[in-house]
Amino acid sequence: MIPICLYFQVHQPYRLRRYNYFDVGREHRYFDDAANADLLRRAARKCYRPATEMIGRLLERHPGFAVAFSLSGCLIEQLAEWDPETLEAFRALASAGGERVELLAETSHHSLAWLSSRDEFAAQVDAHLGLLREAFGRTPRVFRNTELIYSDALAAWLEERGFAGVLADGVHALLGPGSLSPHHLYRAATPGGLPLLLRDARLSDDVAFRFSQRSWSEWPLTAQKYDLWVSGLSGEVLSLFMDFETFGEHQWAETGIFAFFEEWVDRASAHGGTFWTPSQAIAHFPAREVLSAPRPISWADEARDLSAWQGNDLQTDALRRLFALEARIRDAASDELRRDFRRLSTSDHFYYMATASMGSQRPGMSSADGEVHAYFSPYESPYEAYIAYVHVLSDLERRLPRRGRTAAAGARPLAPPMSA
Amino acid sequence: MSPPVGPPAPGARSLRVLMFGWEFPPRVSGGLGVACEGLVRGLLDLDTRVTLVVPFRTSRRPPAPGLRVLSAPPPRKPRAGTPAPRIRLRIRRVRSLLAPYQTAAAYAEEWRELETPALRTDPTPSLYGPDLASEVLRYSAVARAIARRERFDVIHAHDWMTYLAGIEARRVSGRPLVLHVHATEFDRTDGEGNPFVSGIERTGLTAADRVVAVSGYTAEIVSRRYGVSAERLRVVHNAIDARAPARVWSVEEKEPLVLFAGRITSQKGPEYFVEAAARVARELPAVKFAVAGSGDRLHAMRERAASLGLSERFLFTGYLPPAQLDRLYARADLYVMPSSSEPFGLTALEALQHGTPVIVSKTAGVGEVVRNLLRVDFGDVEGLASHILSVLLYPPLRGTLGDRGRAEVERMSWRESAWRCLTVYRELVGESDEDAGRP
Repeated sequence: MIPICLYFQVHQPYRLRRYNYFDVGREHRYFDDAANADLLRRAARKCYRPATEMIGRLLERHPGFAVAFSLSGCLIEQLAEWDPETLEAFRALASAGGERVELLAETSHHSLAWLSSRDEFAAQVDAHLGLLREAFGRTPRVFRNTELIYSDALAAWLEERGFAGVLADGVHALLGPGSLSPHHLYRAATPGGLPLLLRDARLSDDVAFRFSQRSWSEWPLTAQKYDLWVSGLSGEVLSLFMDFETFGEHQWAETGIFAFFEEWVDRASAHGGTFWTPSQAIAHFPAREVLSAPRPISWADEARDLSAWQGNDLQTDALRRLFALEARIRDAASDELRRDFRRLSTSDHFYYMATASMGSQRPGMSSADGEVHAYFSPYESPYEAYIAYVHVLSDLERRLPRRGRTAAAGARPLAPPMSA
Repeated sequence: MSPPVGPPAPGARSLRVLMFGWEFPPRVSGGLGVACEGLVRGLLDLDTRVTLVVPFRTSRRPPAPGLRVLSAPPPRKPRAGTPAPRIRLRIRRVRSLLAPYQTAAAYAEEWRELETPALRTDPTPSLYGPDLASEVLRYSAVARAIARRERFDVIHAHDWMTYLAGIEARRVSGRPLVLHVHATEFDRTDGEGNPFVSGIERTGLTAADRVVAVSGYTAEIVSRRYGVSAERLRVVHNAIDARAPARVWSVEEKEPLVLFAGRITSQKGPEYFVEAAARVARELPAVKFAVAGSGDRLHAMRERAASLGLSERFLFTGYLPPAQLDRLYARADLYVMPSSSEPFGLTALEALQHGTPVIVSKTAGVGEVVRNLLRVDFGDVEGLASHILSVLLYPPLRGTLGDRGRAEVERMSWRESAWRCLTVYRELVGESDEDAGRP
């Protein structure tokens, strides 16, 4: 049985409050604290607490068990503010040490910064490293970018910065026409051949998305069946990457997801299965072929590219407008303005603006994608998401000091609200 | 989920419908005539035979050509061995002053007009009832006579003025009755409405074998206000058929234009349009507002716009014929429908067909079938103004709403609505009953 590499993403965004045109210039609080605190505590109750307990039990029961987490900065900050006990539960897991529970690096704000600005991206990566040192006393060496967005350029940047490896999705675009197996360690198309660990998309999504889908031909998925599938694999490492919220949030406890996972780890361990952290996998195996991703890939939707966040005019316009403010945010040197700017760079805001659920005819966008987008969105429609977002940006812009002769947002100038 | 919208398998008996409907109205804007025409065309497409009974007046206004073309059989070359084409649509015109969305006052005026000798073109004005109520009753008596002569499997009647006709037809024929609710008296009026009208609605909807509502929103009202149970209640959403795009006015310097179109009655929320316009105008110096249509609140709307200092910003076109309204849809940057209660809202589909983004109130049935539009709470003036400003100020919003909205509307067809009606008929007629059609 090949070693298994588990990584769970843990993230909650700062969702915006209902914000309209007439709030611009009047209301500078953009985020819905009450809703965010509620949703965070709900996720903690349904997922983070019972799931960390489960992982804790498995670590105790099986000396060969290990996992990796990536906790976004937004999540860590919200836990610190609204649910410190749950943050403590993650700390308790991490106290098992990096050999058993690895923490990964990412951007502080689970952001799309990579797509818009190297400077801001670097600053957010550093901010996240700082947060992890502060909250967990750790300095990660392996990187995962927001939603597994990955490209050759990203790998080169990470290599330059001295990271030991990077995670990506095992998509066809990367594995090539010969369909290489995702069950090996590969090298990125960089001078140093940065080690690249690839998610087995099918086996990961069997758990993360299809577990409770009655229309799925393999439903119900039992631990025994899953163990059989995994045992039959050849290669060097099986990477199962998914949201931690799979446990109890995306798949409710009633579906049996907790019992399934615990039993599967028990079974795998019973017949000699081993679990490795990403760092261990990277150190252990020789990296094979060089895989190239000239264009960004990700783990989202069926298209597995950027379309979940940059697939329509609303999304590209919103991101362009945000980063048009970047230089002025830097010049303003205000913690508060920078904080708001970074929270607005979180990928979720753009995900809510996706029109996949709106009768899209774009190839590659399925109605299943649409359902997933709608499940996560607090808005009635992608249009409402865009409207709230651009009005918030308009207010943020008005709070910034003027900047010489430089054009403001590079966008079409807005009529100033005069009714304020 | 689209149903398999196709004609029945060869050999299946085509159903015969006695329909009490409305012709495409020559002057009155509104969805009732449009919806009836769309459904009839769809039913004919699905090999259903329709006898359409419509009120018509011998007056200076000729009836619209719309449906008349359908009475001719489709031009087909008869091949050896093929039976001659059947006539699938018969139109029975009943001389009457009834018109969609007519109020008692409007009827009284029509009747008085007929009394004026100079205007009289109808040779038999004394035929008509002296008021709306007696005219509705007279119409149902005529319907009874027609039902005795015609052969049909099911009766289908549209909106309250024809409900009694439907009931009479059922009484004499024993055929099942489907009543189609395009609006209720509760939508048309702020309060309880005219007790005569709501009384007819109650009688009809209680007696009908099936009640078809144009939206889930309307089905809920019918169920709550008239106690129609879920077993008898069905939803068949309105639709729109593809048409050649209207020619766009080419305007060199284009000021943003926000459009309101429809009957100007309190149901349509004209005052909220004006109040929101005032807030928008304060923010955007160039924006203009067009109001197409007429109605009992037109005067009040004009006055309010003037008192807000918006006279320069507002263009009141009055009633516009469809071709001109199409050009206005195409020219507008945004279409707004702030109705207090809108059973469906066909004009939203018409605007979207021109790629013009739409804002509707949440109390509108069209929001159930179109997702690429913006919705506001009825009466939320600030929310409406904010959405209008958002669309005008942010081109990607306007573009995406318009393009995706048009794509969504392009996939609709009356044939699909007709197919759903046909499903309702078949529930009632019972496919196994071979003799159902033989009187």
